[in-house]
Amino acid sequence: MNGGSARIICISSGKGGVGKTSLSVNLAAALARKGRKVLLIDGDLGLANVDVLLGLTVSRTLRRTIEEGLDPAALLVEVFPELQVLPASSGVPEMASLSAQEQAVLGAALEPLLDRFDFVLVDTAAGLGESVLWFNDWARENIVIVSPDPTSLTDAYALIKVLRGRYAKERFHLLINNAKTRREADETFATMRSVLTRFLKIEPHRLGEVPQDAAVARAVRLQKPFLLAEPECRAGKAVAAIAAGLLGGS
Amino acid sequence: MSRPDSAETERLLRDLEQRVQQYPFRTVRITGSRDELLGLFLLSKDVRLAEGELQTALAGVIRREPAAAETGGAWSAGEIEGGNLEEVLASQIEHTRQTRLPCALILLETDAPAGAPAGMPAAIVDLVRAAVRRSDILLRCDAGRLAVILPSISLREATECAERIRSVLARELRLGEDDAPAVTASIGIGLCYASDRISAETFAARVAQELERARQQGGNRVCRVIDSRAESSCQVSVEERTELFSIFLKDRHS
Repeated sequence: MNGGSARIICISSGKGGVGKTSLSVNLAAALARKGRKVLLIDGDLGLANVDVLLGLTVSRTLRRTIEEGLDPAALLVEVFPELQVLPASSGVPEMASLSAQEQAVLGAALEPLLDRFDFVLVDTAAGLGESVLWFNDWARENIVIVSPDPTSLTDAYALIKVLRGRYAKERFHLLINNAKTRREADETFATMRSVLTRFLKIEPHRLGEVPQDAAVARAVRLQKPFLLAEPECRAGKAVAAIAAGLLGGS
Repeated sequence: MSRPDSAETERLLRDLEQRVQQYPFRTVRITGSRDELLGLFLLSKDVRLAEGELQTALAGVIRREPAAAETGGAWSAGEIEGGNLEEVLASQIEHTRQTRLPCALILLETDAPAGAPAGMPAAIVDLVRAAVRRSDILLRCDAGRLAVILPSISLREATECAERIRSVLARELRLGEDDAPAVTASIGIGLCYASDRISAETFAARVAQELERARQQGGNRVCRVIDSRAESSCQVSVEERTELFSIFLKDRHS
């Protein structure tokens, strides 16, 4: 399973609205700009947004693979040559909770695609639904996004606890998003680390932090990655540094 | 690439058998009913087995194919009559660890009327077979029990399947006039996750406990193993929350 050379990284947060999709899109763009072949899978199968943030027009989605067995290679949408997107459906609640059989179909369908890419990023839905857990289990690496507020910390911690308890996952990258200051990011990571090491015996890896930046909201309205819309913005530079860190660890 | 024929496969296996001799492994040939070479069983030379143990280990991979006359041709793929539950279950648990998809075990026992022949009636097996997926494995066990192993299934789907079996049996096995069930079925169900480090024996014993609980409650019930890892231990505790919120408490006090 997942025996190819692609790094398969799942991006989750537990809580919604912490910037998963925005960071997934920008991280994918940053890796692609560094010359890596990147596949971005919209893992929010029932309420997809990756296509919205990239301004893509999508006619066929992963629903066709799950329900009709359509080869996902036929669904790929090119953003630019190094970045391809596997889009998902929006407004299809049954896709949010895949059955074990559907999970098996999806996993088998995705396997042949993996060798074509250096990085496969999965932007999951919020929550702890079966699809979210399955994508996290399927991926080899897990990025958990946390923002400095009590609900985000609780939900990120709960997600990690479930992934450890049900799927024996023990290695997590933490990405702090939307911190007002470097100190706030440091404290957020330190708190998560303290609880994870004390209660779950997990030593998280600090992947980096993306600061609060008005450029993020402006780019969303333009339906472009902020990294491309305003390359010199603080958030853009932070994501570029995170991508460099991921490449350094490959 | 074309698929190799059986002669090519046999040549490959014989070549492999030769090459393995360089390594600290013993090879045991797995052959078919016509002595054709089907595969190789590799065993580390470090493993010391008592006389007869290897045969015992290999017994688990011998699968009797029931004759059409014996079964009326009704047994479909995946159904094994008289198989050893622990051996088949161990294989499925290993599959779960490889695929990361949980598997479930349903154990079913019936309370037949006094004087009825021992064992699981064929009519019940037929009803259960119709209520499960084709990929599920049915086994007749000792003590008149029927086991269903459900690979790649979620807890919700497995519970629905058990409930489907229960309701089909309750509906179909009635005595006519007084509408009372002729046979009541008790069902135990459990799920094994990839992260569970339990043996087939332990897993089967846990489900058997639930079956017993269902039986003691009067039959015609489904009792489920409560998965503490999935449902209880993943709950975020008060202590964990307190520590998570510690940075915000500092802000409130400052």
